[in-house]
Amino acid sequence: MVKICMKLNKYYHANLFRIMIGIFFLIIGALVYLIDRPSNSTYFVYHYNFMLNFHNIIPNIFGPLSNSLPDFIHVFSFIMITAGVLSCGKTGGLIVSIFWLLIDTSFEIGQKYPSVPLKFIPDSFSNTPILEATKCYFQEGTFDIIDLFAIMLGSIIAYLLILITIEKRKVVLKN
Amino acid sequence: MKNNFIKCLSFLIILFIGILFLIASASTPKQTAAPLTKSVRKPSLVPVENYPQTIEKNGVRISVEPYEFTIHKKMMTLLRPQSSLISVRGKSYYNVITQPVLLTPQKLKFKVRINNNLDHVLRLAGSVLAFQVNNKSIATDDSKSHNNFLNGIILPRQQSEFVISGPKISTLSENDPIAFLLYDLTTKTDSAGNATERTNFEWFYKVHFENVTVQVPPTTKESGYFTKAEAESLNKKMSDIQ
Repeated sequence: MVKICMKLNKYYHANLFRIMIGIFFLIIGALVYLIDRPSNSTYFVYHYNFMLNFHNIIPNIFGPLSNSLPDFIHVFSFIMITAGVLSCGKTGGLIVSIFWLLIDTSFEIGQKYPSVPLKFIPDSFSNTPILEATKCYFQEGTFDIIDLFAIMLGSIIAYLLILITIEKRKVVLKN
Repeated sequence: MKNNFIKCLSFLIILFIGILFLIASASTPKQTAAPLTKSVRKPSLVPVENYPQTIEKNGVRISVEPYEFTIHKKMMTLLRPQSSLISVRGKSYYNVITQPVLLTPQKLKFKVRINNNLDHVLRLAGSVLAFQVNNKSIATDDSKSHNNFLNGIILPRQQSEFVISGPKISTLSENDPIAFLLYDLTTKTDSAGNATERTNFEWFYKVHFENVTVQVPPTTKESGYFTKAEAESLNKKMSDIQ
């Protein structure tokens, strides 16, 4: 696996470090749902937890952070993964960060005004795994201004990390 | 060119996965589903005309009153063990099903109030307590309430109350006549204490049923890890509906 990643890294110039950070934080994000929330409160834990639920076994380690931490982690992780795969520089990193900031923000705002996104959700989603939760996401989800701050913070930190992890490639000039 | 295409494709895949992750974090629908309605066959006993509920004979007044049929709404927790990938600190994975249960009396119950207006002690021992449904004697399978009654001793000018279990409700049909019989109650004794007068008391009822619909919360399902002891203590636990 590592060899494959290394080959991909060499061939496509992906920034593995960013991808690994993104995946690591995604796992932490999943733990928020698996540890701090009851198994029946979240769609993917309820349907796809593979019987791995630690709620009431491990103390709630994330405490009050668990409310907005997933929003922070989602935007942060996907910015890192995207920037890692595309191996973005300064400008590319900024575009990726703004892009995910807009995606996550629009989903959060969609929870405040659910009637708007619900118009665009096709009925066929209700029979498709995962997509069937789209309606629930907007109807049952609660808009929180702190979540918006978490999304912005996640985007800013991710962008700063992109700047730190820009790889300087060796340019080989062929004569 | 190929490199750019792959990067574009990767970006689209990440975008798709990212949105799926967002959606999968959706809350499951809250338990605001419409409450369920359950139907219960509620019996009521109506005294037959010309047979009063209070009878006074030979210095003893006895009144019999059927208990109101009560329905208690409860939630029962059931734990079902499931296979699990991990076992933590001796805990196993269980599905926790909480379902509504209606607790209703299995038998008819009667409150019997006896006033002893005699000038001597009234001993209920030796009397015969029986029920008849459709003119057939039935066994009530409740020796405790009957023994309590038959061991009763009531002082002169005193009153005692007893609760007597009657026929099973499930065995009754609409308009069944029910007789509550108390025979051979000693109301007079000689100086040696031998019974010289025995009195019979009879109450007659007709049973009527009505279907009552009760609203209860829907069944819910959760899951989690519990020790065997925790699971045993939680399993079949009843809780009040809030």
